[in-house]
Amino acid sequence: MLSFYQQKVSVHGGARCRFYPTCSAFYREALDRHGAFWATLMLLDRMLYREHGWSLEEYPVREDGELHVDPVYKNYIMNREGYYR
Amino acid sequence: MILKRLLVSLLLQSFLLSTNLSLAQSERGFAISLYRAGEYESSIVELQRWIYFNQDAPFAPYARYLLALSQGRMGKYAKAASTLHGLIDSISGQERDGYYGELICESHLQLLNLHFRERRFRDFEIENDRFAAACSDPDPRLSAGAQSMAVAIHVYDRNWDEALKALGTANLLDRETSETLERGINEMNQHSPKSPVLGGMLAIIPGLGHLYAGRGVDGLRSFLINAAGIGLTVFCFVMGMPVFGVLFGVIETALYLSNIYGGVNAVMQQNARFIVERRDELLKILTVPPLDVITLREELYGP
Repeated sequence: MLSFYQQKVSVHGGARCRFYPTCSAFYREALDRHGAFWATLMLLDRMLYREHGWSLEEYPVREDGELHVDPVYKNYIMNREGYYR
Repeated sequence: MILKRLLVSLLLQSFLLSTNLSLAQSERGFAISLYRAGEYESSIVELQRWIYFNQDAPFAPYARYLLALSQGRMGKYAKAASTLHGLIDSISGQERDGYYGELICESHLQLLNLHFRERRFRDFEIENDRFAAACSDPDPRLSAGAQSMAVAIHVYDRNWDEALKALGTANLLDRETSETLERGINEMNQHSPKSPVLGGMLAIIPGLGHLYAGRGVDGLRSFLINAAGIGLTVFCFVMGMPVFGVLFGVIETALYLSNIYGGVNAVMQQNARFIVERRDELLKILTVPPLDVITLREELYGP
């Protein structure tokens, strides 16, 4: 279903996610690393509570100056040491 | 490109031959000039070639040192460390006869530098002990660099007590830097982070966990989204639509749990962010020695 969304749906809508990696790529990676339950919580937290608030400014901006970097390995609950590296 | 380099090399060699300079000296000078010009890839090739043909020359250890620096400058830290280890092993013992003493000390310092850049803390500590054992009276520039890195490595790893201890023994750092660092490290030691458990408990009321973490807008969004979800669920059950009620209930459960997750994560992230920002400010004060020639300029580049 995720692949279907990425290949057939997202292509037409264009790039809307303000984070890098995109939410679908983020979810795919979180699914591989942490399983469906935690990946779903992480995705909902990102999409609903973090993506459009003031907290967006806390995430470093990518070199092109457009997207804020929020990789799975820097999610604090899931990987504390990754945050500091 | 290779033909051009070969032609330049042949022209230079023939010119220098005609002016009675030795071929080895001219090739060595060419390799050094490539390093100084920042052409590290080319300098690696030339230095390796020179070392191969002049292994017993007195300048060979210096050439190997430059080779290691070139490799380090290209980001090949493992190769650079290996070259430096080989160099130190080959000339250890000769410093007692008055040769290569400074080269050994500077090589040890650059090994420390490489371990620091790669954040290999255990290797750094082992190498620091070797540096102290091999160089009882090093150049002050080398000592200052080693002391600075010893403090920086503990600051980077957030070992504030160890950083204070290392700062106490760093007598070559200037007073202003030492005082600023001591203040900064003490501030970190005394900082009491916000409680993620409290953040999680507050998040039982949607949005309060985010508010406690200092993210007001996120908290408000969380409250509105969950209020809408709970409202819809209750509405469906009251209006006699249990199927929709269950559906919205399941969705709202996921949203509610993610609100609690988000509240705890926000508190933990804010705590970590404070530490990372202060740590990076402290690291900017500490000057790490360059991956470059420090005390051997005259031996390598001439007067």
